Amino acid sequence: MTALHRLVSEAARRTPQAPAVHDGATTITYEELDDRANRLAAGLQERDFRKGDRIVIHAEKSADTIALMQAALRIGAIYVPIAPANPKARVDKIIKSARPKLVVTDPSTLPTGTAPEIHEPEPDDPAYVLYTSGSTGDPKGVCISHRNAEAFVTWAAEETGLHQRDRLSNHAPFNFDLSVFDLYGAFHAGAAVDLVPSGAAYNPAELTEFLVTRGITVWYSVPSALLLMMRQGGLLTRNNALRVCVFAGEPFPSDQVLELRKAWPNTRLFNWYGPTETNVCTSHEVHDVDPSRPLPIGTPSCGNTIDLVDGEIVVDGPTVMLGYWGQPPHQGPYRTGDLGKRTNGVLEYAGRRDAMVKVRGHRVELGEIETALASHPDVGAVAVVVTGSGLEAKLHAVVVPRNEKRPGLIGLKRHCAERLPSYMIIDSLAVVAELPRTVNGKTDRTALSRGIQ
Amino acid sequence: MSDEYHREVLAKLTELVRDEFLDGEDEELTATTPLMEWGILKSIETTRLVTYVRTQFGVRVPPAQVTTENFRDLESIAGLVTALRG
Repeated sequence: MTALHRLVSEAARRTPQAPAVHDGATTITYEELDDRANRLAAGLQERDFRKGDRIVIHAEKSADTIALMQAALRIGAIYVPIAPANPKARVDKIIKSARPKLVVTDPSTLPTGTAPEIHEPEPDDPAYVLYTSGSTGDPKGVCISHRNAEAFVTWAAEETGLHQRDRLSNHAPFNFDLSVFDLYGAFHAGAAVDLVPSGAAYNPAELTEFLVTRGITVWYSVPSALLLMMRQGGLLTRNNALRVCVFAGEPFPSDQVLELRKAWPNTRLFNWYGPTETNVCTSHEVHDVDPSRPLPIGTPSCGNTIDLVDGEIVVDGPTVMLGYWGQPPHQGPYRTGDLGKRTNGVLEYAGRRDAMVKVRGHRVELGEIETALASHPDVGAVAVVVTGSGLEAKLHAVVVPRNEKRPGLIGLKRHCAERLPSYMIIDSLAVVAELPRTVNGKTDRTALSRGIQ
Repeated sequence: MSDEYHREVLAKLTELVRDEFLDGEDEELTATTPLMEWGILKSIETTRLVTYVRTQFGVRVPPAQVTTENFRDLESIAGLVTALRG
């Protein structure tokens, strides 16, 4: 097994002058990244870190942030990335759960040192914790080991044929597991990773410009981003250097994959599937597309096996997480809560078992939004449902007022914004006298969704 | 003249945001309501607003100007449109 931090030091030994990270006008080589990581690691070591201590990295993407992730691993610490866009209340919850020894908001201000002692992890030592949406209203920390990450990275690099001259984009925030491929896939191959500027996420034209003019050869993002670029950024009319384009995180409508396939006959297209708890556990390389069927999620990847148990996708193998932070270790196969179907030996995704949903590529536990809204003084009872799908997916809140005062949409959006990531802010609101219930007394979500479509 | 134009743009934009993005609800919507921060303008809405500005006022907003700063609230968007009109 190669520990994640060895990927950088080995690339630095092989090709010290090769670019490792492009961040706007700045480029740092493998030698520089390796050196920066070591100096930060030495600085951290002076603070008496113990193996397994957490470092929360609540900072903008940059070469320094990546060097800090490397530094954390080099001293045997566990890093916990949080995108800066998260509101304070959520960051506080994550910090409360992770109990870090250190919270870093600006890695460039950290003290440095020289000649750190490099930690040699056991394969099952945790490397990082990624917090995702939880059903109780609290984020859940998915704890990933060096072995988990390495199994994925090695497989992914081989599957996509990554090589030293590749330039990978990094679109996803570092707390989203899509970024694991961008960073460690690049480091595994000694290739370069190019960080998409945070402001460009709003702008399909700018994203397209980035992909084209930066000479990206490997792109990985949620389908929503590609669809925006296709529809509003003119992506399909521009020449590009793309060799591989990978999408994951939500279903990609097959008619639009067909459009992409036709526009880019020489680009390899992959549809990957997997929750944060297992990272990518199935893969489908897109050749012919049948627009009348959902795009397959393919066959097992990374040495995993997949079973369908009462239709639910159950994953076993080397990428299954260690467990949730602060809870007993996970044992045995992981039940994804996703439904699957096998057609001619190939898997198709068939929706969620419960109320956890995908909205524009983000995993959203509706319960977390409901918990946040229920804390508003004018809200008596609330249910949140998803209307529409793909780019048109909207979060719709149905609210029963607590007293005479009728809650307003702007006020509730604001309330969400102060507590949840922006993709979990509700889009529309209905105020009702009573929520429909099932015989078991649960909110009748089917009735709610039916009522608004 | 420019003041009057600015007022007109602000009124039209307020109408758009209220009718198209907030289900016609205008409680609390003011020229300084933080549109991006409160999730009233997400990527799709922002793109629609830029298209609206082009068709309604004939003003083309360059991609580089579509920033969280310029699109913070109705006041700053109206200011941007007025400035770009020259």
